[in-house]
Amino acid sequence: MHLFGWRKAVVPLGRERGIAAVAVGAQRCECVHTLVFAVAIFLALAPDAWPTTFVKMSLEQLTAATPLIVRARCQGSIVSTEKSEIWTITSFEVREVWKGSAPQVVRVRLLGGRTAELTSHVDGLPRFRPGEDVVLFLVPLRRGNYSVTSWAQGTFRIHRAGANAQLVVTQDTAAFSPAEFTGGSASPGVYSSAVRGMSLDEFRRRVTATIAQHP
Amino acid sequence: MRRIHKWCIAMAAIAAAGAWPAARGYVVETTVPQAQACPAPDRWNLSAASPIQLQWSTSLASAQQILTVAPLGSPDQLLEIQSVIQTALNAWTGVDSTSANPNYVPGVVGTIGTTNAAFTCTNDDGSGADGLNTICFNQSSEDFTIGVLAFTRTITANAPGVSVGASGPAAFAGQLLDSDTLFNNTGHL
Repeated sequence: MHLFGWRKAVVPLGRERGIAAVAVGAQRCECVHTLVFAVAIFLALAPDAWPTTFVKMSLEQLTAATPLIVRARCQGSIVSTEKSEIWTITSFEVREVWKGSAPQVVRVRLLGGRTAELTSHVDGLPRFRPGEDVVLFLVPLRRGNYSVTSWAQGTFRIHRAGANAQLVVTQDTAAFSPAEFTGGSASPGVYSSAVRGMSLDEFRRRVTATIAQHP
Repeated sequence: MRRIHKWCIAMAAIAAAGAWPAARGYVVETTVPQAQACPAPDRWNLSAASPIQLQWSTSLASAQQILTVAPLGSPDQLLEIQSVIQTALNAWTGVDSTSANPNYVPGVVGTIGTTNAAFTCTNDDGSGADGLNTICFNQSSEDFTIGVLAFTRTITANAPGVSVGASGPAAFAGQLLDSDTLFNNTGHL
């Protein structure tokens, strides 16, 4: 058996010492931050956890927290390296703007990717294929690119399903284990609160209703 | 005939038991080699000559706090955090049959180091890809979008001879060259 990565070396921390090392927010709402970070680190370090931990957010929370929401089609990706760090930059043709304002093409910059010599991997980051139809919850970055709110949580794939080939939406986190989220139960199985197979019309209605309440 | 039937059922039961996935505390990840080949499992190149080198940044963010038994900001707090990290590492290196067990390969695990620099993990300018495996509680990163609490970035070699920073050249495809673990330091979730 090999030791599969440094990140795995810290896995049993939570079980060995309880929550001995707990990072908490101390500025606003200290109690909430304390609890969230405690659970986050416990889950991040628990044996069944993955190396990325998210705060579980409802569709309404995601919508309210995100400045730009678009429906877009993936055009393709390039890899950008600085020193030995690797980012994947994916271009999207914007088809509909649901919230905020966006250029005709948005470029999403996410950590990780592959060059000829190196592979950089981060769990929980979405990857896209050319032609994919998606709804993205985006946040602007300093260099004019965008990132995705809460990574896989802010990524929704559109596909056809059912006898009448209706357009439906599935969140990337639909297949995640609850242990990858703070507030998720420890029981096995997929993340039951995620959007899975929701009709695009219903999905758009929920998002726009939230925007109306929290513009 | 009945005996053969029972034997077949017994063999099927054993096969089913063997195929049942065992509980694991880790996730196997792979790297597709540069040369046409099957994906190689990501792993360290472990030996006494190239032990696992780990460090953590003792720089703690002001927007968040690390809760410990020891008082916040005290030297004892840093010792306590280091102790927790060491305990976690020992749990892995104490596993029988692992090639990271110092009982089998003396010297295969280096002493956990520290650095007081704040930004020593995956950095927006790329300087975090340094071949040093680091845990950071105070690392700014644009990748911390709302809802992302903690993540680990690993870099592996696609071919022998490749290196990252101080990692030294890889001996095989799939060799881990750099691995950083970051906790959100913004205090905003």
